[in-house]
Amino acid sequence: MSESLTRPATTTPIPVPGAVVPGAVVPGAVVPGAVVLAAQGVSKQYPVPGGVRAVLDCVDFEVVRGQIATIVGPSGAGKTTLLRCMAGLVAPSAGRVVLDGQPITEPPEGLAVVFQDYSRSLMPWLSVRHNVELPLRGRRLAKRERRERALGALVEVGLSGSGELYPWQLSGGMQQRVAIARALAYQSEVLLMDEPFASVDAQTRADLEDLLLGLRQRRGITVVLVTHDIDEAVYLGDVVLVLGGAPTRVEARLSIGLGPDRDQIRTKAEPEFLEIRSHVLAKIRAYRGTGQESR
Amino acid sequence: MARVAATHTRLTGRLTGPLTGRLVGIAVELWLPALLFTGWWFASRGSGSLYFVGLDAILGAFRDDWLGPGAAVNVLSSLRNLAEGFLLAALLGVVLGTVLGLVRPLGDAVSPILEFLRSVPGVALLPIGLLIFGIGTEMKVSLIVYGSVWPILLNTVDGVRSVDATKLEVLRSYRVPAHLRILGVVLPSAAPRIMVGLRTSLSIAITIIVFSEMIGSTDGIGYAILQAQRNFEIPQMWAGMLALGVIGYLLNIGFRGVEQLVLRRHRAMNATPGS
Repeated sequence: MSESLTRPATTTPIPVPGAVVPGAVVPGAVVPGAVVLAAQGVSKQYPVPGGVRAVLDCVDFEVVRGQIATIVGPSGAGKTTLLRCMAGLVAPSAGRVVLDGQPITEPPEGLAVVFQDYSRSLMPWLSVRHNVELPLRGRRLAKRERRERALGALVEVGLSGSGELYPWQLSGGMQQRVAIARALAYQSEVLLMDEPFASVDAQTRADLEDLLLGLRQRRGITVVLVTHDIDEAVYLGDVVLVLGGAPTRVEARLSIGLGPDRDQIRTKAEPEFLEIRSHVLAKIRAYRGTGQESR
Repeated sequence: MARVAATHTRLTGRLTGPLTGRLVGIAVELWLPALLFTGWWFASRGSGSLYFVGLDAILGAFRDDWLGPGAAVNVLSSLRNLAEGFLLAALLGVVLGTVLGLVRPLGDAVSPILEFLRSVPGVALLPIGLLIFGIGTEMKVSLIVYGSVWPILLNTVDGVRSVDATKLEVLRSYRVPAHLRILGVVLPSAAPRIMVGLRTSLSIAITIIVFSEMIGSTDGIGYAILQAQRNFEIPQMWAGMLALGVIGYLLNIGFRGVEQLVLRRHRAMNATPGS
């Protein structure tokens, strides 16, 4: 593990995660498999008065099937922009995002997004069940099948029996569960999450983190999760990508050898967790420094 | 006094059943009009004035003119034209407003023209309406459409444009087809604004229908009022205005009912604390 920690920051793409960081794969960790989602040299610039502002600079990384990849970085580092590029919501200025070998040009079917602001991403005039059914409404599905899928997804996130309520009748954590159920009902293989647990209290946040770990175990979904919380990034991630610099690059890529069974108390007390955590924190502090100087 | 009564309504409404609460609510709304009406009755009793006749005479004329079968022709004619014009304006306003709101360049391009057109009061087009359509139904309906479409159109454009960007991104990322985006999310989002436009338009439409009936018509409530005035049937003239007031009031209540139905989710949402 220490080998991967002391490895200098690099922006070169890493084809197979487990293989490039020897020693990082401990027994019980996710076995390296096929790459399902890849960012290849993704750059993004926005026009500003008198020129362009580069937000992302040649971001490269790959996500292996069944893995949770967490993206962490200082605020304003373009984490959300990167996620939006991966979702096909904005086109990168250069480079491309590849899902299952296909370059993404528009939001693909095999990919669902969970947005940070659940109060805005859910439709308040639709019941919880109809919110979950919304992504299925354009598909050729029998009404009954749609309904069953939605109810099944609600059971999976622990909201059975809440289908006929309205989002505003639920707590924040429950609303985000609805948003997750909506993504599950869509039955995509990859889940993109943009700071999904940033607006809920600490206990709810821990519950939702464990819900996500459970879903990954049961469903084998691949998750890319953006967060500004280092604890969360390390606790959830099989791989942690540290973004930094201005414009933003992948400054470090760490395989987390904590295994698939994690526990809020036990895992967070493990020496390895603490070691990685302080390592990531140090990196982010460093890059936040350089980021501010060059601006 | 009124505030105490209102608080009382809310309390009784909560404590006892909805029916009792509603009855108390009606009582609270009615006590002042009832008082004023009674005052009017006694103050105008035996009035010798030619123009300000006694309420008893007005009510007598009201009963004869507006509660009998003879009223049906005028009332139905007015209401039919009003309904046709208003519904047409609503349809036109919402459809055009949605298109202009969604296609921003188009909306920006026609915006100055719309602002100019809506600044021309609907009733100002009466002369040209008379020239083109004569004094028939088409003239009245088209005047109502022209006069009342603007608040609906402009509010729809605003409402459609202010749909939450996050919601639109959700729809895009889940590949929801365009017609479902519009019917399922854009219009429900814009509904409160559209209802504001409709409410404004309804009162404009009522003004226009009465005015057009007074100037170029042979039936309708406005025609009846003017006719009574010309024949110096002053109680009948007052009774016509009273009828107009009652109809306008009922239309507003009806509209409020529709609005509450359409916006019931929005209302419930806003009534929920912490949402």
